Amino acid sequence: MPPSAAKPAGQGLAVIAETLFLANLLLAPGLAFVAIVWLWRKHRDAAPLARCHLEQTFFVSLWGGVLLVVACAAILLLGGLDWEWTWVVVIIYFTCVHSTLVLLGVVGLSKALAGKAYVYPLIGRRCA
Amino acid sequence: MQYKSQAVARLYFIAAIGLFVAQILFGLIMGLQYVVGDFLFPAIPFNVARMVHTNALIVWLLMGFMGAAYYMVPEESETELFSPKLAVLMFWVFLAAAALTVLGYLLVPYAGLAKMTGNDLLPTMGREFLEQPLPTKVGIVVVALVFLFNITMTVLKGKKTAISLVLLLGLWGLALFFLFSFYNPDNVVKDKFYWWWVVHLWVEGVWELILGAILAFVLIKVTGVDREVIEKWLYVIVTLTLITGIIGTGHHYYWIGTPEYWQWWGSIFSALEPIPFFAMTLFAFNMVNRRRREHPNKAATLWALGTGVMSFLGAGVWGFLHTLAPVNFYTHGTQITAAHGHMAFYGAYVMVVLTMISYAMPILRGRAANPGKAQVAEMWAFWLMTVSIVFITLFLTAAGILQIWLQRVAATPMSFMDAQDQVALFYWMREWAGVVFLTGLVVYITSFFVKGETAKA
Repeated sequence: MPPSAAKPAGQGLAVIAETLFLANLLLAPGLAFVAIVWLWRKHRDAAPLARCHLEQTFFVSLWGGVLLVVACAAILLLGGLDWEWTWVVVIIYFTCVHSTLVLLGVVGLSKALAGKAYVYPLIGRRCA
Repeated sequence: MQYKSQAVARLYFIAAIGLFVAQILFGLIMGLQYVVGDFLFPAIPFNVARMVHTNALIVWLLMGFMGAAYYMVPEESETELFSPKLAVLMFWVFLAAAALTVLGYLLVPYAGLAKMTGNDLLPTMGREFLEQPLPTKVGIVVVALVFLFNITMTVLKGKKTAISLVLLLGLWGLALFFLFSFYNPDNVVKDKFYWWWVVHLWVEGVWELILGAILAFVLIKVTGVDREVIEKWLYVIVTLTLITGIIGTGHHYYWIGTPEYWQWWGSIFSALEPIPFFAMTLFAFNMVNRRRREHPNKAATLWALGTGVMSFLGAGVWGFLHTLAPVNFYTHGTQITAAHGHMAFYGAYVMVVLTMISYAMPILRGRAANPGKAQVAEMWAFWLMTVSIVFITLFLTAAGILQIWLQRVAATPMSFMDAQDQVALFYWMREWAGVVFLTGLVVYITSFFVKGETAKA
């Protein structure tokens, strides 16, 4: 059986969605998110596997924005730039949350590559 | 086990675990000395505890790599080891050299040890991680060459696979770069320049090849995924490692007196160094998700996945944190480096050796996997050690950020020792996390003695 015939429906789109999620965190923040939004809107009737990964990456990217940008801005505003503890908290917070999101993205991408659905823990949306 | 000669690996694994215990005990001693300066002084001064802590780590990892190679190569090459007797002989030589060196560190003042061991003939001692006396260094070369001869001859007489060739490349590179430990020029810039050829080109170069080969071997066994798929990943990882890691050495050349262009080369290439670790994490998870069999050794699979995750965090993320020259200008030589060092060594090399031991030891003991209860204990050990190293890293990172602010950013900068007093709370927390790590190690060793029903290998 040729490998392409064994691929579950929507796997390609699922892999693209997870790759864009990682690109949004690592390479092209914002730009990759625009691509996720575009795919998420365009493929509303995609196969369940693709739709699951699109839903995850769209909503978790939104959460990522809140957790990384909004929360870090709040820490900096509340603590002030001239207080050493602001930097202790914000650097450790950002590093931990960012790398956790990246690792979850890696798990998501590996699931997509294996043709499986994946729900991000705590902040992911249930798949239909 | 498939080949009788694989049994020699067992000796190496047992000695590796023994030295691992020594490393952690001396780590705890020096961790306490950070906050109780005269603890065990003058019996074990801080510099001696540090030397034993780091040297024991290097030696037990080398023991682990050798054990892994002796286990893997016969199976990969589909033939018995060229000379099992030579492997056993070299084990005892290596162990005796390691024991004598540690005794020398503990019983003789370092300057006296240098005099006793002929350092005036060829001065090589006194440099971080390469503190070993000349005879020990010569011994390491002899053991490494005999080991490589044995392994290479086995590969040459048997089947050649991508895994065994990548492993050989890594091991030969390891031996080759160690030769720079004998080059100790008077010029301090040149000294540091070539010193990194051992230290950096080991851990961010050839050791990564060994790591990739061991991980690939174990993943083939526990997942049943086609060798071709795993080998393709291995090629990608090797390429990424060499492209980023070799010129990435430049991140050590920022402030040692080398030309300024190293700040660009070092920053650019070492910023790419997380990529092979990222690939390794994706590789491990991808293979486990595509597995074709449920291997009874769940603990080995957990260690393999853990290696991917923790090496990415420790070597990749925490390495990137302070690798760009403008950032490193502030972070250089602070506790940020210690944070990175702890998690990277644990995540990449400690975990991959424990992955191999976890997979191979039950087979060497005549069963496919350890009994369920033993595996549960081993998985507890995994979590205790892994979570505690995460906390050690976080506490050291916090200490490092505070240290940088107080010592290098504040309008009225503190002296080094005054800043150390201010971060003492984090050192205490690091010490307690270290105690949890030791508990995990004790549970790990206990797991070898838990009995129960097992399936035959």
